[in-house]
Amino acid sequence: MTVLPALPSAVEEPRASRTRRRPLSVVEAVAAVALLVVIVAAVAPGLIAPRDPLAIAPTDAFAAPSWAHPFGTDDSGRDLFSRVVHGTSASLLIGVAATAIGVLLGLVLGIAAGIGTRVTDVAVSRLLEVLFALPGLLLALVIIAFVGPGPVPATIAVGLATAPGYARIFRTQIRRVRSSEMVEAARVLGRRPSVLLVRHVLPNALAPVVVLATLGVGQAVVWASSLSYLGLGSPPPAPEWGAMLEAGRTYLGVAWWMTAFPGAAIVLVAAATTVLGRRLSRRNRGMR
Amino acid sequence: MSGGTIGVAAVAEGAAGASPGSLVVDDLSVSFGSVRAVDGVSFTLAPGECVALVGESGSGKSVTARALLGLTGGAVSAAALRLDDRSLLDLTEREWRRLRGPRIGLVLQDALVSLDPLRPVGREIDDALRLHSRLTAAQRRARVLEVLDEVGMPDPASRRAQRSGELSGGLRQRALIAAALALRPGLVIADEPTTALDAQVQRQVVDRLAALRDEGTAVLAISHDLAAVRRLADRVVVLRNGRVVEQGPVASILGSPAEPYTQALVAALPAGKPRGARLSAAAVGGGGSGSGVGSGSDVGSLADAGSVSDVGSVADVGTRQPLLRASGLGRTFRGRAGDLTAVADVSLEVSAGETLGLVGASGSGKTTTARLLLGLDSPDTGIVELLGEPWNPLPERERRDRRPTLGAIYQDALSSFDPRWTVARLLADALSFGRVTRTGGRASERRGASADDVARLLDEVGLPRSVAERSPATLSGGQRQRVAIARALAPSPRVIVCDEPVSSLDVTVQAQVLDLLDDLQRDRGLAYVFISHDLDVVRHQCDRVAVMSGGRIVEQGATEAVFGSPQHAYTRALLTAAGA
Amino acid sequence: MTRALVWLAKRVAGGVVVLWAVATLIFFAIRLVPGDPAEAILGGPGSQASAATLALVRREYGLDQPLGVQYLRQLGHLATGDLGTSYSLKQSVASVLAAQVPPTLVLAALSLVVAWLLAIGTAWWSASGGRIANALASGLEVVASAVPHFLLASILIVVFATQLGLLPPVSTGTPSGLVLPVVTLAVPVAGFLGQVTRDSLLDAASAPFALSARARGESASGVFGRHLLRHAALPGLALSGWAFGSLLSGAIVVESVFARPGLGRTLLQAVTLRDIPLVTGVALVSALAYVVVVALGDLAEAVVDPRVRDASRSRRPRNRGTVAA
Repeated sequence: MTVLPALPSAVEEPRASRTRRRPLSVVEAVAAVALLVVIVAAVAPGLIAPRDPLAIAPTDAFAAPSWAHPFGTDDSGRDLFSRVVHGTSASLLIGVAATAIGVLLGLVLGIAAGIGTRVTDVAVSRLLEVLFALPGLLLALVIIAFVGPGPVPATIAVGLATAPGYARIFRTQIRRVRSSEMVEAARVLGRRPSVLLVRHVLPNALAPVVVLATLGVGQAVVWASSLSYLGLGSPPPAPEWGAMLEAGRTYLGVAWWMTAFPGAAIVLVAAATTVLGRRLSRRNRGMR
Repeated sequence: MSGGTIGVAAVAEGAAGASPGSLVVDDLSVSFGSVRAVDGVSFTLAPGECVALVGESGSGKSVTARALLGLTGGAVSAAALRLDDRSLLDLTEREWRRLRGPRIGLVLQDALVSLDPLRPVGREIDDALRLHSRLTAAQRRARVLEVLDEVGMPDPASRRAQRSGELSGGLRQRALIAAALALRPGLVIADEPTTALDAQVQRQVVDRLAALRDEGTAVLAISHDLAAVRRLADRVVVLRNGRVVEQGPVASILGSPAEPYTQALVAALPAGKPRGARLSAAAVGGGGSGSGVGSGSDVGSLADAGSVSDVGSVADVGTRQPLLRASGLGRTFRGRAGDLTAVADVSLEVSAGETLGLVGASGSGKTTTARLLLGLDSPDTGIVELLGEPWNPLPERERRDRRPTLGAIYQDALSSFDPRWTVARLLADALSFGRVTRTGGRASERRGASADDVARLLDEVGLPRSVAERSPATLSGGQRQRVAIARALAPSPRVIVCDEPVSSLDVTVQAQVLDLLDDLQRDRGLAYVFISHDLDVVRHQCDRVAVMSGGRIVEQGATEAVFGSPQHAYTRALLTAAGA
Repeated sequence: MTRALVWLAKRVAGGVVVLWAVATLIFFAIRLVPGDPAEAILGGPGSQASAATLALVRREYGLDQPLGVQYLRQLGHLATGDLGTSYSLKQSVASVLAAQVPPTLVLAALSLVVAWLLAIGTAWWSASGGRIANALASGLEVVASAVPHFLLASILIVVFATQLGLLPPVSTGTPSGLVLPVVTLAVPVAGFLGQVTRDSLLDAASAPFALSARARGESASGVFGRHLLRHAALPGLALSGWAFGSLLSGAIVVESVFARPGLGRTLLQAVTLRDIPLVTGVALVSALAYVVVVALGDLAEAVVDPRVRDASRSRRPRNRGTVAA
């Protein structure tokens, strides 16, 4: 093993060096560039793929990837490259919206449990436990069973399904900071509880919210596309990744590219957000 | 396996002295990338001898020790590196493995994490035997019991099956030593073997290592604790920044050091220095991250440097009214499997300009007492009075306005700071409490004044003004503790409760911080409650001392009286253990 | 012995509470959806149920009675194991579930085993293989945990079934038909477990006890097997509940892609047809399974880490109480 065993010394000095900014690793650099491209594709798809994503050309149907059609064409001869690029904004929007719903609801529940009375805490914690018994996609499906399918219900369902996870993290964070030596030191100075909460507890406890949201967008895109793939989200022929995948499902044997490229786009977003989210969270931990 | 059979057989018989363990280290260097952690270190070690590597953090002493085990992970080079007649340079991993255990044993600090916390200690000792001998399971078992018995483990048969977390600090450290001694290595390397242990346990460990040396084993001790080194070592090698500063017999190095650095190290030791004597007069600014921060001696304005005791007059407190007084404090924690009485019937008081020491082993109730004094926890019985008025128990709302009178300093300064704040913001925030500042009452006006106030505060604790805009996480341990002290001072308190304020600092930094606390006490007439497990520090720093054991104060009185002629059996045991 | 019984009793009580809460949530959710609850149970306004069917549902669910009575009736049914009737399948929900649970259980259990093997394998490889292996493993884990089940399933089908013809593209009930579904389900879980395991493995490898073991002459693989593995596995075991969720979520997709019978596919059909009694049944079974899995995970954790047992036995006064902020 090339890892240098930590030298157990009586004195702690290395912390100072831990906060020094580490340069981006190769993987992180790739992730950052990828995310940048994705954002450009979402904001200005025309810059990358000038072709019309909805233009039909039946003669070109099922064309394999080539110079003319880098990602091939679908069953109606539409250019898949254009469709993937133009689908970015819709897919990302679903992911971002779902994450926003989940994080906001998670914040409400987490803060209620974290700073509320014992009773509130127990009540919210129990509720979260119950919701954990219905794991993500299943909870989303149950919600769709009541609300009905479609892109908006799917987004809401994914958002609601992710909320318990966020709520639990926020609750734990708040509790941890509340019992920290830092808060104790502020109390010794004579800080009022309300000010303590606003000035120390919440800002420190909720600092990871950005990280979690970053990580969450990737996951939400995957879930939302799973719902579309199962026929419960965006319907075809909208250029949305999940819907494109569902369309490609039928032709998997003859046109693998109809599945491969939208799928790769999803993996790209999910992986890039994971890598960057992990770096952010490591930095947060370093600073504590 | 081939070739090693004879050696293994000898080890298996456990014949003492099978490997005498004479060590030659000549011009040893270890680099990690471009960083040279050890640079040209040379020393020798003979069987039956103990050499101590001494230095502060970052001095390269631990890396040197690991180089002798082939476990540095860096690039090792030396003119010679020999154990007996065998060169330790360019060994393969396989060859190293055959030496580790039978020929060289390693004892680390803190057995709680140096033994696998998930496995019984007997298994850990057994591992060494299993790897290096052909003993049967029954024979190994017998040997495990034998070794445990040798290190003085009571009831080895049942202790063997316990994990490090289930054993007390002393017992688990013995188990760790037993694991290193199972194969009777000729050379034992003890890396900070006494750090973080209570005085009595420290004494046991030092005695055990001394006995080992007397039996003919070569012992290489690594420590920043010069007191322990003095009791154990024959010769001392002083390291700094990876180089040898000086080396020689323990008496001459610690008695009359030649090099300024060693002089500073020795001067910084609180042991035997009377109350008020300066420890950091010959400050060398060691231990810092090299950022050139003014050490205590830069603060000439408030410290008449070098002078020994003006403090006597301040400490001479007879009839003054106590600032903080606790009477009959009791606190019991309710648990599932029963109650734990953390503090029982604790009464103490401290007056202006006075330092009250609170000593005792870990778990004796010192920290709970501190929390009760600070009003962070409510007592089940008894009362705390601050400036003659009731303080705890009292609803927080009714005492909040008086909080600025009472400050606190913690062991881990960093975790008591808001990690998002700079030093300036931390101090400005603390300044907004307490008495209305010179410039008036309104918050907006105060903000204008605080840059000056912050600078004044930094001056007072001997920090350069440039640290104001830095985050505490980027400061060295000593600097952080100074920031913590500055923050405690900001609201102009009368009493400060210090919970192990220097326990995680290097000895020269510790000296500076202790001197700083003394200076501030003299200037501001502060009262300190000073909690520490280090008897030498307490004896040097405190006017009066209270000894705690099992949640009670067993003895209390003037420091020299308590240390000079202890009345209670526990105090005597504590002092004997500390070698005082 | 009695300790075990107390533990079991607590778990059972906790499980009952969770089931009650899930049933209650769904009960009120049906009534909160705007419109006629009877229609909602039959699949929403689009179902065009006949007046006769609606009347039947109203009677069966007692919808003409006060809400409190309805609620108690529903709980009473549940207590006796009566989960109602599936309208789409014209069968009792209990019998549908009895047939669909075992295939999902087999799939999930196999996938969990494969996921752990993969996770520990990559963790060991990356820890012993130096920087490049570490970076590679880290990248693999990220991609593995990010890849959606349906995409992975598609890739595997194209490569192993369509191109190579090694394995059947749909589940056939034979062992070879299980390979692709199990791998699909296992890889994302393995990716996540691998990240957690590798992090804690690196932590454990730099802990003093690892150094002690090396200094005793233990080889790198000896240190791994005897010491690090258990430490590395702990955080993963603590995530049992999460792993269960991921497996069940994945099973919905995997069973549907590979046309495998099971709970997930049943749920998907029920949702598509808005067969509320069946959806409720699946949710309850899933909640029950979650409770059992978490209990098993805790047991496994206690076996690997004896300290967990100690903690539940001994009192630990919390010196630093929660601040009344």
